[in-house]
Amino acid sequence: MSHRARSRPGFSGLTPQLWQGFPHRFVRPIVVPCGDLTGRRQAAYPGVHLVSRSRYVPSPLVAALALCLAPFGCRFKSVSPVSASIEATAVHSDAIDLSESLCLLGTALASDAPACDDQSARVEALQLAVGQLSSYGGRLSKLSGIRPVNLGPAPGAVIGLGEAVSGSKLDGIERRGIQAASKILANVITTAVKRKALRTAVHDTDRSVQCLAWRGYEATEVWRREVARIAESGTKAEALDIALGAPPRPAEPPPPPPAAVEPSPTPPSKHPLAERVAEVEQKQAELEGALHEAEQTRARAARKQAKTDRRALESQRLALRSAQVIAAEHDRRLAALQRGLWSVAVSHNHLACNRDRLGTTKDRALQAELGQLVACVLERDSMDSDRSSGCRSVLARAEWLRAHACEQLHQLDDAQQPVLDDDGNPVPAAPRCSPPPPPPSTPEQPPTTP
Amino acid sequence: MSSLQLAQKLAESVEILDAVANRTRRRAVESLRDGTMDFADYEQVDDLCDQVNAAARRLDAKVLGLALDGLEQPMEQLERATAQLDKARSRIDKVQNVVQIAGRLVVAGLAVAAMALDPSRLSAIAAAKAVADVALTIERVANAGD
Repeated sequence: MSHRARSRPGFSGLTPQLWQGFPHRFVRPIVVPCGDLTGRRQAAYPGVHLVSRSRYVPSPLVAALALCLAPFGCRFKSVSPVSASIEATAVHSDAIDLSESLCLLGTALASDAPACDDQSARVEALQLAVGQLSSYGGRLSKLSGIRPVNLGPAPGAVIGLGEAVSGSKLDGIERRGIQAASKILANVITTAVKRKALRTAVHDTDRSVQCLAWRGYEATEVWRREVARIAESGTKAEALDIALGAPPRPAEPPPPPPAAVEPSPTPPSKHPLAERVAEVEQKQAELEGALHEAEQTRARAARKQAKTDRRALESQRLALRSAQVIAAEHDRRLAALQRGLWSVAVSHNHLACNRDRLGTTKDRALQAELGQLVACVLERDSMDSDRSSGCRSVLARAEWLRAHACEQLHQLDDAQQPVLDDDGNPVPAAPRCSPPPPPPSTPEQPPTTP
Repeated sequence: MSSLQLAQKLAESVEILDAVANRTRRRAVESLRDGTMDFADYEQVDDLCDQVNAAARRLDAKVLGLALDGLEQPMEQLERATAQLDKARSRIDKVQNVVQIAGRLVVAGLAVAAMALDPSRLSAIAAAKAVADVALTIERVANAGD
């Protein structure tokens, strides 16, 4: 495999072959601030002082052109897990928009007086906060991915000027060497500006990011509890299932039709009260008929009522099942938002605590660490015993950050007043990087004597 | 103790209230299933559980208030950081603009110098083109600055 094929993207502009013909008199030591520096790589670039720190030793001639051999592939990828987490949070922030409706649904199901009046202002505040977090994440991402300065015709013009002044013509290799050195210089400028800005940003904002992320998480916990209350409609629906599945109460048998009133035997001779008795018997028959009719009407009404009640219960059950489905769907969205907020908190803190590694040879390792931290967030709902050994400490640390979030956002002086910078803004406090304190050992209880 | 920590403490109580109500309701459903409770009694239990849930909901409204209280300070800090990141980006853009203008100026200077040495028509055209290129670049940069 040739050196060219092995070379990393950062060295693609200046291959070992090209370096052999490079005008070494112009450039003395060259420093690589990031990239994989092996002995073989060092051997491939004779005359280049490959070190892993930004330590530039300019040559008097073309110091401005070739101060540093910064690899073009130095992309500050350690920022991407943080900005991706922030982006994920912003994507799922529409779950916040529905929280008001959720509150109304919850109160309606429980026939509770509406307690959702002051939700709007709260929801708006959180939306603003997530929006601000999103803007910040977007800027982090854009700056970390910004391309090196495009020099345009500058290198060619400088070469032309050099040729005009010296009256000589640079050959192809020297010309390409100077052009490569110019590109490197441009990359160094971009890298330096990017690195400083990104390191300062993650350091200064970490406490605020923690505060916003954990406040947002606490708010989503409130909405998830509301979702859980609504999801309890499943239990209520189960009770209705049982009530509706129970055999219907046996309908009262319809009363037997009134027995025909037997006419009293005709007395052989007309009794003086016979007419009166006949009248009473007729009245009795009429009354019994009316009573029977009333009984039948009552039975019909009872059957109708039972049917109506059953239909009402069935409708109620349907509404409860629908609410259960809505709750389950919304819970998934809130859970995704929470995962995003946890990831933001955990990854941003790790990046802030390791800001010196941002944009160095250790950047890729830092990116991998951040990826693992974000992956651990998926285990946060598991029991401690079910968590992987690598994630236990990560999640314990996250809980520690959560417990101490928003405690002290700014540096305080001896009088416990915020220290102000030149612009009158409070100086942010440093990120919390110390490991969480060990869990308190439970002292053995002395045996209680009766 | 910050308002967030107060919210976290209060949230623990809310969770307990909800858990008690839910457990009671589930037990009532079990009783309904095995026939030891009739539906009317279950409805009474359910109403009581609803009242507990309602109390929890009211407490949750307070939790939400505490949790989302005091967002201004961290938001201001993030706003400042965002502005700083924007500034860094524009600084890189500025470097690019300056470098491009410098490059074109040198090209123009070379063209003009060539014309001085050889005042032919071709040299004059080349010099004019180079100067026009400088002017266009400066104009583009100025517009981008707006």
